[in-house]
Amino acid sequence: MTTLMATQTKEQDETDLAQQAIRDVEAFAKLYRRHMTRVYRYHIAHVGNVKDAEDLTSQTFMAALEGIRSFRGTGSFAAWILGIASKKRLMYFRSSRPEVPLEDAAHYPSPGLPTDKAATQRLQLESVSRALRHISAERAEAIILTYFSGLSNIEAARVLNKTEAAVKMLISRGLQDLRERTSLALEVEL
Amino acid sequence: MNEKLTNNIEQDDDAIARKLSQVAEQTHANGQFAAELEQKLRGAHQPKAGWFTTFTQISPTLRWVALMIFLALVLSWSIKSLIPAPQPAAENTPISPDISTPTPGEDPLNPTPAPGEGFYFRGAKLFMNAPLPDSPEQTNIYQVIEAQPATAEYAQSLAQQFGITGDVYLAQGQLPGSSAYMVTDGKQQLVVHGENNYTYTSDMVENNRSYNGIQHENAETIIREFLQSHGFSTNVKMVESGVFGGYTLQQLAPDNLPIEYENYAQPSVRITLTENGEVLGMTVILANYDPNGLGSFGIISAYEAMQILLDDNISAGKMETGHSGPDQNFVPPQIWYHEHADNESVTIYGNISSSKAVDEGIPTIVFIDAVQAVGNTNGMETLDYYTFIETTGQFIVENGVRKFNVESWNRDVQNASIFGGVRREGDQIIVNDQNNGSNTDYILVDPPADLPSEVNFPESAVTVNGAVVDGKLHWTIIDYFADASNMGGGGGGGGGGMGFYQLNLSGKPIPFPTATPAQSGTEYTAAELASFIRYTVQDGDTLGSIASAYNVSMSELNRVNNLSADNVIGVGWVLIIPGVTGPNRLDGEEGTMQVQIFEKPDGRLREAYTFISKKDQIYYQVKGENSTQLQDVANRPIKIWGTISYDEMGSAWLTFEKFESLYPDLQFEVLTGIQENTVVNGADVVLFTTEGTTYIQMISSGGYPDYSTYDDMGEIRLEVLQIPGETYAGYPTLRVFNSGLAVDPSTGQEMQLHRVTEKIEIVPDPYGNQDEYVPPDVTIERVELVYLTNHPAYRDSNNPEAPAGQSYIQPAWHFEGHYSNGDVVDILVQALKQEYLSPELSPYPGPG
Repeated sequence: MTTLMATQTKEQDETDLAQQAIRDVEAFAKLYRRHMTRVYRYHIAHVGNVKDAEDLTSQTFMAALEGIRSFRGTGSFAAWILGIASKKRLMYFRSSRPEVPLEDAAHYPSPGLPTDKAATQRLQLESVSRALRHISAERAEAIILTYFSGLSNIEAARVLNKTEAAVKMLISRGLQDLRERTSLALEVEL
Repeated sequence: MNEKLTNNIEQDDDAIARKLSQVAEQTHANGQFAAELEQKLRGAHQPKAGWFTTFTQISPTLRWVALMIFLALVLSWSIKSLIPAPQPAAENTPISPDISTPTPGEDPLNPTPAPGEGFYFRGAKLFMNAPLPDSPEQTNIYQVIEAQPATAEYAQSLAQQFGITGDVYLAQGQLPGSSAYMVTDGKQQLVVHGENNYTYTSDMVENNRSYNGIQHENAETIIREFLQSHGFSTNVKMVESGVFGGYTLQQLAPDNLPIEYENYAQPSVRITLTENGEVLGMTVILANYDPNGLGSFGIISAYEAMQILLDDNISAGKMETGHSGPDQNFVPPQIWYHEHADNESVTIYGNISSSKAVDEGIPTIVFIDAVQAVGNTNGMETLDYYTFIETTGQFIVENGVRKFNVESWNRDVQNASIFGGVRREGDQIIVNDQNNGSNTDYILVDPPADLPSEVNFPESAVTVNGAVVDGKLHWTIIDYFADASNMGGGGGGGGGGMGFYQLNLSGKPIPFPTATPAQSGTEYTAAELASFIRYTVQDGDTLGSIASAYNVSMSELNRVNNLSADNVIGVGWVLIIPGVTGPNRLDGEEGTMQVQIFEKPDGRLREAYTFISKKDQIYYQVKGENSTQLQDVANRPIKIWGTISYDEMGSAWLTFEKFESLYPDLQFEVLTGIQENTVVNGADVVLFTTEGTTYIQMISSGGYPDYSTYDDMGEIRLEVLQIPGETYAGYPTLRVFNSGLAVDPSTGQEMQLHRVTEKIEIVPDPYGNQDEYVPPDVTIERVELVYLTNHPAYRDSNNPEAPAGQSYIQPAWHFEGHYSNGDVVDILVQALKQEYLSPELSPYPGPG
C-alpha cells in the first residue's frame, strides 16, 4: 500500500529548496540528505553490490547538482532525481560488472547490528537483486522505484513516463514474475 | 478450486511484496560513504555568491567544508620544501624511455579497422580515431605516502610564497577532526588543508564572480612563469580542463608519465586568470608518493589493452567513468551584481562568514560575501555560517583593499530567491515570481539600467537573489536567461567504479580462475518466450505430467522456468510452456486504451498506444492504420480486434483492425469523499465514500484494486470513471486516474484537482530524437599510458584500516573519447601484466 503524504506541501517545500540550492549549499545538502537513501536503494537493488551502488549514487547526485537549475518544481523532487538515477544506471551498466560478493561489504558493518543479522540482510538483498534480474527490466524498474525508493505510483509513473495504471500493471506483473520465475517465493515465510 | 488458486496467487504476491518492503527498509548506505559524498557535493557546489567563502569560512553547524569539484583529501607531494622548488624529474633517472610522444602502433596485428568501420561495442560501434601508441615494455610502480596535515606554520610559509601579508585564521578541514588554515589580507586569500592541498586567490570578490576565469592566448607561458617565480615546481603538463574552466596542469611522475585518479580527475594545479593575464585563482591538489619507485614491471601493449576494453565478457581489470558532456547549447546568463559606491552610506544584503584567528590576540575576521566587514561587527562573528543579513554602512578602501565599514546590521531579513519574469509598469520594474506557481509581484528596487524591462516567462526567465523588504525586492544578483529552456545542466559524473585487480608483488604469479561454461539448451529469444502459452499448475500436477501433456521435455520445462534441480513445482505456479505458442488474435477483447504523447527535442511528436486487456491484464502496444483515432478513447473501456505479434524484446504488439467504445457517453468526473484503507476478501483495498455510497478504488484500467491512498488526510478528490455494473467483492467500483487533497493543509484553502483525463498531456520523449532507444556509437580520440592512483576520498572511505602503504600508483592505459550523444567516454585498463596481479579485486574503487 503506498501512501501519499501531503504531497502538495512536500512538493512545494522541495521546490523552494531546489531553487535555493542553486545558490545555497545548505539547501542542496538538505535535499541530498532527504533523498540519498532512496537513490542508494534504487541503485543497490539494481546492481546488487555496494561499490557500484555507491558509485552510481555519487554520479547521480553530482549530476543533480549540475542540473539543479532545471528542476522546475513540476512534480516531485524524488521523481526527478530518480529519473537522473535511472539514466546514470543505463549509461553505467552497459558493461557487465563482476559480481563482487557482498562479503566485501564486511567493510561496512551495519551500525549497531550483530554480525549475523547483517550477514542475513546482505544475503537477502543479494537474492532480491538477483531475482529482479530475472524479470523484465521495466517491471523490475517499477518495483524498485516503488518498493525500494518509496515512490508513489504516480511518482514512479513520472520517472517511467507511463501512466499510473501502467505502473501498477508493471508492479503486479513483476511480482507475479518474481513468484513464477525465481525462487524468491520459496524464501518467503507464508 | 479456481478461487483457491487465485487467493494463493494473491497471497504469494503479497508475501513477495512484503519481503521486498522488508529488504528495502533494511538497506542503508554506508554512513561514511554518505558523509563523504555530502562533502564532495558541498565542494562542487557553485553558488553565485560565496563560492569561495564556501571553502574558506565555516560555521559550527557545518562539520566540514569541501574544496572543489574534484575534491581530494590530503596527499602531499614528497618534495620536502617548496622554497625553492626542487625538480623531481631531475632528481630521478627515468626508468623507462620517455614515452610522452606516442607513435603509431607497430603491432603486425594492427587492429585499426578501415575508416568508417568500427568495432562492435555494446550494441553499437566503437571507432578508433587515435593511433595506438608504442609503449615501453615496463614501467615503475610507486608507493603512495600519507600526506602531512596542515599547520599554521606551513600556511604562513605558503602565504609568503604567494606574497600575502596577513594573519592566520582557523578553517575547518575537509574531514572531521582535521583542520585547515586561512591567511588573508582582505583581498588575497589562501586556504591550506594539508601539504600540497591548498587554494589561493588574488582577489576574493573577483574570484566569486569569475569561477572559470578568462581565457588567454599566452596562458601556459604566464602560468609557468608564475609557478617558477613563486617557487613552485613546474613538473606538470597542461591538459584540457573539461567541466572546470580555467587551466589544469597535471602532475607528472619522475618518468614523465602523467598521474591520474580513476574518476576523470588528476592530481593537479588549477589556475584561473584575470583579463590582464594575472593569476586569479590557484588550487593545488597533488599526489604524494615515494619517487624512488618499486622497480620495473612488465605491462601489456595498447593493442592488448584495447582488446580488453572491447570485450564486455571481461569485466575486471578495467574501469569506466562516464559523464555527460556539458550542454552544448548552453548560453550563460547575463549577470548583474549590485554594486555600490565607496564612501556613501548604503544598505546592503549578504551572507556572513567568519573565521577565528590562530593567534588569540587577533580578532575573528568577518566577511560579507567575500568583502571583509569592519566597524560595528559585534555579534557577527557568532552567526552561523552563511547567515543572511541586512547591514548599513559604507564601502571603504583601506590599504588598497576594499572593505565594508558596518554601522549597523540585523538578521531580521529573509533571503529571497525569485524565479520568473519581468515587466514594466509606469516607471517601475516589476519582477513576477513563479516559484511553485506563487505568482507574486515585487517592485524591483534600483533595477540595473540595462535589465530588459520585459522578460516573458516561461520562454525567458530571471533569477533574482536578494531580500524582500516591505514587499519590495532588494536585489544582490540577477541572472537573465534569454532562452529559459536552456538554463544549463548536463555535466556531472565521476564515480570510478571498481574493476582493477589487486597487485601481487610477491614475485610468484597467482593463477587466475577460468570462466565456467554457460548452461546449454535452446536459446529462445525474448519474443519467443513471450509468445509461448502459460499453464497454471493444478493440484496433483507434476513436472512430468505437464511435460507429457504438452509434449515438451521436462528438462526444457525446468530450464525455461528456472526451476530447481529436483523439478519441484507448486500449485498455482504459472509455467511457460516452451515451444507452444498462444493465440495470435484478439476478437472483441475488452480492455482499456491508454495513450501517451511525447515531444522530441526537434519538436516532432510521438504517440504511444497501449491496450490493457481486462481479463488477464496483458499489456499490448498498439499500432495500425489511423491509430490517431485511438486518442478519442484514451483511458476508456473498449473492445478491440486485431492480430498479435511479439518483438525481439518480448513485448506484445497488437495491430488493430477496429475498436468499439463501450460507454461512449460516460464522462470522467471528480468526486470528493473520504478514504479508508481496509482488507476485503484478503486483499488490501481503498474504500471511497462520497454522497452516501462506498466504492472500492480500482486502477485506471479496472484490473484490480488501486492501492494509492492518503492516510487520514481528510477529504480527498478523485478523478474517476465509473463503469456501470463494474463491481469488486460486492462493492461498486471507481476507476481512479488521479487523486489529491481537497484542502491544502498549510493554508486551509480548497484545492482543485489537476485533471489528467481532459486532454492528453504532452511530455518530453525519453528517446530524444530517436524512435526508440538506440545505443550510441563510441569514438575513441585519445589513447595514453598513465599512472593511476586512488582518488584519496575513496581510498579512506573504503578501508579506513588499510595503511597508506597499500596504495600504489600503477600504470594504466587510458582511452578517452565520446559517445555519439556527446557524453564523455573514459576507460582505464590495468596495464600491469597478469603475473603482477592477483585475481582478487581491489577493495578500493580505484587501483591499489
